[in-house]
Amino acid sequence: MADNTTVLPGTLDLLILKAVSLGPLHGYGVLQRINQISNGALLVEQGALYPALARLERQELLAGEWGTSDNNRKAKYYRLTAAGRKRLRDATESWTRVADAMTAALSAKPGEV
Amino acid sequence: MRAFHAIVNGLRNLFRSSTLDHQMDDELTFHLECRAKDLMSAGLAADDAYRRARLEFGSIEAYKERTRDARRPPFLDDLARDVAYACRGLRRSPALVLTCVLSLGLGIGVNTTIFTALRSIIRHQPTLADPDHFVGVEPGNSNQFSYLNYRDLRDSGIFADAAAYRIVRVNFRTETRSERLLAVTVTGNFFRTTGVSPRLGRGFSSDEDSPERQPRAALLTDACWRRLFDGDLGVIGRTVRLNGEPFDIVGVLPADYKGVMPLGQPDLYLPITAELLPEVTDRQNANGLTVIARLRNDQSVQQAQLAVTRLGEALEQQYPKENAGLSRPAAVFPIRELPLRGAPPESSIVPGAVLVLFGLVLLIACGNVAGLLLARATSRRHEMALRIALGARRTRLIQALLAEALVLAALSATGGVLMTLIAIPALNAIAVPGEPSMRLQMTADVWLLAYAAFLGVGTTLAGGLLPALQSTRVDVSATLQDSGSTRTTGRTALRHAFVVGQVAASAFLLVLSAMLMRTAARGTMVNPGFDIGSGAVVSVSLPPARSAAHRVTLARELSTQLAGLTGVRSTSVAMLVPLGGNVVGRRVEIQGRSLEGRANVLVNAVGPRYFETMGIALERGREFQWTDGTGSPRVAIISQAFARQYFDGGDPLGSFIRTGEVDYAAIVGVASDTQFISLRETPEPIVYYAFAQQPSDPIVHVRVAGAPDSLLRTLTASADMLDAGAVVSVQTLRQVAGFEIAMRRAAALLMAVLGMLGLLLALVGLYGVMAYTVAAQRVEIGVRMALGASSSGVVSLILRRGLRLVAIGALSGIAASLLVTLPARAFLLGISPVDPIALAGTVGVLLAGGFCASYLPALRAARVDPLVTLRQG
Repeated sequence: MADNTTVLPGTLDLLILKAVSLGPLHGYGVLQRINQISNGALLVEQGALYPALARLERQELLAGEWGTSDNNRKAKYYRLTAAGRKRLRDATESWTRVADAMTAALSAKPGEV
Repeated sequence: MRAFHAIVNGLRNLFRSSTLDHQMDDELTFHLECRAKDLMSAGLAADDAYRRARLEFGSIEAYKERTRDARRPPFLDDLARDVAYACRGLRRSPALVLTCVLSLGLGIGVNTTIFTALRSIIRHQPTLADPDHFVGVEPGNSNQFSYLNYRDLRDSGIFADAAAYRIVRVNFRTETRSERLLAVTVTGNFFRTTGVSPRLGRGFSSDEDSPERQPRAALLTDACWRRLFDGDLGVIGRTVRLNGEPFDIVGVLPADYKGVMPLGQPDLYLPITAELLPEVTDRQNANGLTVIARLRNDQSVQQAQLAVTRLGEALEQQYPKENAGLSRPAAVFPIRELPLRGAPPESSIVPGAVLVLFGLVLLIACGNVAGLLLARATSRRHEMALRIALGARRTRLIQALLAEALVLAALSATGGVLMTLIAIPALNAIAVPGEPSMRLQMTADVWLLAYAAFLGVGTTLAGGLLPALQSTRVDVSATLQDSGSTRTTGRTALRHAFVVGQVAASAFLLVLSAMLMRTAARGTMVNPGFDIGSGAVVSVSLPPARSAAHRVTLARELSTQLAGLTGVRSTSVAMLVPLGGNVVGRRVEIQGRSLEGRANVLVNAVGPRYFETMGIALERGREFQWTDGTGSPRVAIISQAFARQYFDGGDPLGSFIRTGEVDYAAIVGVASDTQFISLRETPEPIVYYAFAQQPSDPIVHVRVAGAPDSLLRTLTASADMLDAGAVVSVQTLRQVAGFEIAMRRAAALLMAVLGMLGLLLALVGLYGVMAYTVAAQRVEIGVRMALGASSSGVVSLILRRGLRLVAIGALSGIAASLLVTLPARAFLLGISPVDPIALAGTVGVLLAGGFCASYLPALRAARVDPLVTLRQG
C-alpha cells in the first residue's frame, strides 16, 4: 500500500456503496473490497469508515445485520437497500460525467483550443 | 458551571442508547482483530500486530463520537445547538422571559386545567383493576338491565364477571342529624369484579345481595367516613339506620377510590335489596341497573355483543311480555364510553367549544410573546443581516429563532402544568350545591402532559413563526449600512396587528360574558308563569318501600299542618318543582284521535289548591280535590300551551288523555302557561294529574305572606315529626327554581373570568407596544417638542394611537361575537343579540383598559427632554 491516494472528500460514501453492491460485507470487508477493486490505489482512513457506515445506515441506503464471519466471529454485515442501489446508480452516473469532463478538460492540448 | 456540565453529561449518557454503544464496540473490536490477523499473516508478531492495527485505525474514541453523531439525524443536532444558543440569549433578557412565561404559563395553565376537568367528566371511569378488559353492557330494549335479567346475564357465563349498580338516595337519620345521602346500590360481586379492596374492614361478599341476609352491610367512601364519622377507626361494625332500616358498616373505601359517577361522589355503597330498589323482583322494569362486565381473556367486544344479543333473544322468548324488545341488538362498549352514553349528540360539541374559548386566552398570550419576540428581533436586525451576509441559510435562522420560542413555550408549559397540579386539589374541593351536589374528580395523568406539550408546540408556532419569518426578511446591505435608527414600518405594522387581534379576541370573550350576565340577570326578572317570590317548598323524601297510600296521607297531613302556621296563605303538594332541574316527559294520547309526530308533553302530579298556591291562573275548570283519589275517575288539568297545540281552539274540557298509563284521565281544567324545563320564549305543553291518583315523594308547596325565608325553620320542625324514616329539606321556591339561573350565572362568571384574563393579557401586549413605540420614537417626539408641541399634545398623540388600536380590535371582536350570539338568539331570553348594554359595556371596559395601558407610555413620552434626545439622535 505504498503508492496510493487518500480518497477525495465525498467519494467515500460512493466507494462504500459500490463495495457493498458486490455482496454483503462487514466493516473490515468493505475496506478490503475497496482496496481490492481499486487495485490498492485508494486508501481509506480506517476509522473514518465507521461514521460513514452509520450515516449511510441512517439514510437507509445500507441495512446492517448481525451475522457470523468466516472465522466464526459475530460481525455486522451491511447490504445495499433499494434506495442504496438507486443512489449508487445516480452517483456513479454523475461521477462519470464529471470525471469525463475533467479528463477532457485536463487533456486539452494547445492546438485544440 | 462544573456541576452544570456534569449534569448535562449525565443526561447525555442516560439518553445514549447503551445497546447501540455495545454494538459499536463489538464492531470496532472485530475490525481491529481482523486487521491484526492480516498483519500477523504478513509476518508481524502478535503484540506488534495489535499495536499497529490500533495505530492505523486512529483515535478510536474520536471516531466513536463521530459515529454516534452520524447516527443522529442532523436536524436534532441543529436543534440541540439552537436550543443551547437560545437559552444563552434568553438568559440575557430576564424581563422578556418573565413576561412571556407569565403570560404563556397562565394561558397554558388555564387550558390544561379545563382540559383535565373536562377529561375527568367525559372520560370518567370507576377505579378498576384492569380497565382495558372492562365493558359496559346495554340490553336491546333500553340502556339498563332489570335485576332478574342481570342475574341471567351474570349466570350465562358470557363474561368473566358481570356486576351492576344503581344510584339511589337514602335517608340517614341519627338523633342529631337528618340528611339524604347518595348511595350506590351494587351487586354483591361488584368490588370483587372491579378488584377494589377497602382500606378498612372488608368488602362485600358475593351473596351480600341475597334477600335473606340480615343485617345489611354498608361500605363508606373515605369522604363520607371523614364527614359523618370524623374518620373514626372504630366505625367498623357500628350500625346505622338508613331509610329507617339497620345497616352494619363493614368497611371504608380507599381515599383515592373513584366511584361510578363522573360528577359527584356517592357517600356509601350498599348491596342491592328489595327495600332500596322495590322493583328488583320485576323482570319488566327497564330502568334498572347499569351493568359493567369483565371480558374473558381472549374475548372480543364483538363476540360479547353477539352473545349478549343471543341471550336477549332467549330471554324474550322465555318472557315475551316482560322482555319485549330484548332480542334487538345489545350494546357492548369499552368502559371509557360509559359517561357519554345517553347524552344527546348535540352536547358533544360542548367540550370542544369550551376548549376553543379557553384556547382564545392562550392565543392572546401568544400575541404578547409574538410582539415581544418581534421587538427583540428588531433590535437584532444587524445580527440577522450579518449572519445572512456570512452565508447562513434563512431556514436555519428561522429554526434558530423558533428555538427561542420553543424554550419559552417549554418553560411556560412546565409552569402551566404546575399551575394545574396546584389547581386540581383546590377545584376538587369545591362542591357545587345541588341535588346531589356536584364535585369534580380530577386527577393528573399522562394526558395532562400530552396536552401541555401539544399547547407548547402550538404556542411555539403561533408565537414564534411570524416574528421569525418577519425578522429574517432583511435587506442585508441596507441594514448593514443603516446607522441603527428604526425604519421598520413592516414590523411595527405586524405588532399593531397582533395587538388588534388580541383586543379583538378579548372583546369576543367579553361580549359573550356580558351577554351571559345580561341573560342571567334577565332570568331573575323573566316571568316564569308562577309566583317565584313568595313560595317555599318542603321536599319530603321517603324510603322507597313506603306505600302509595302512606305518601298521600303524609302529603295531606303535612299540607294541612303547614296551612295552619301564621304567615302561610295556602299550601299544596306536587311531584316536581318547575325549573327545579327535574322533568318527566311522556308521549300523550287523546282518546278517539291519532296524533302525529312526537306529541311529547311534560307531566307533573299536583294536589288541591296547587294553582292558587303557585300563583298560576286557572283559566277554565277547577282545581283538584283530595276526593280525586284512587277510588274516583282519573282527572287531569292541562296548560294553555297544551290546549293550543292539541285542541286548536276547540274545547278541551271533557276530553280524555293519557301518557302511558292504563286509564285515560278526563280534562277538568286549563291552567295558564308556566316555564318548566328552562327559561325560554315558548312554554312547553304540560299535563297535571291529581297527586292522590299518582303519588310520589311529596314536595309540599307553601305560599307565604311576605318573604318566605323567616318561615324555613318552623317548616323544618313541623315536617320532621311526621315520618321517622323521612328526610326533609326546606328551600324557598326561588332557591329550587333558581337552578337554571344559577347555571347561567356560573357560565357567565366563568366567561367573565376568561374575558378579564384575556383583557389583562391583551393590555399587557398593548402596553408593550406603546412603550416600545414611545422608546423608538423618542427622536420624533423630541423634534415635535423642540418645535413647540406641548407635553399634553404629546400625551394625547400617544393616547390616540393606543386607543385607535383598541377601537379597531374592539369592533372586529364584537363583529365576530355576533356570529355566535345571532344563532343563539333563542337562548338569550329576549335580550337582543346586539344588546346595547352588553356591547357598550364591553367597549367601555376595553377603552378604559386601553387608556390605562397607553397612559404610562404617553406620560413617559411627555417627559422626553428634547435637548437630551436630539443630542443622542
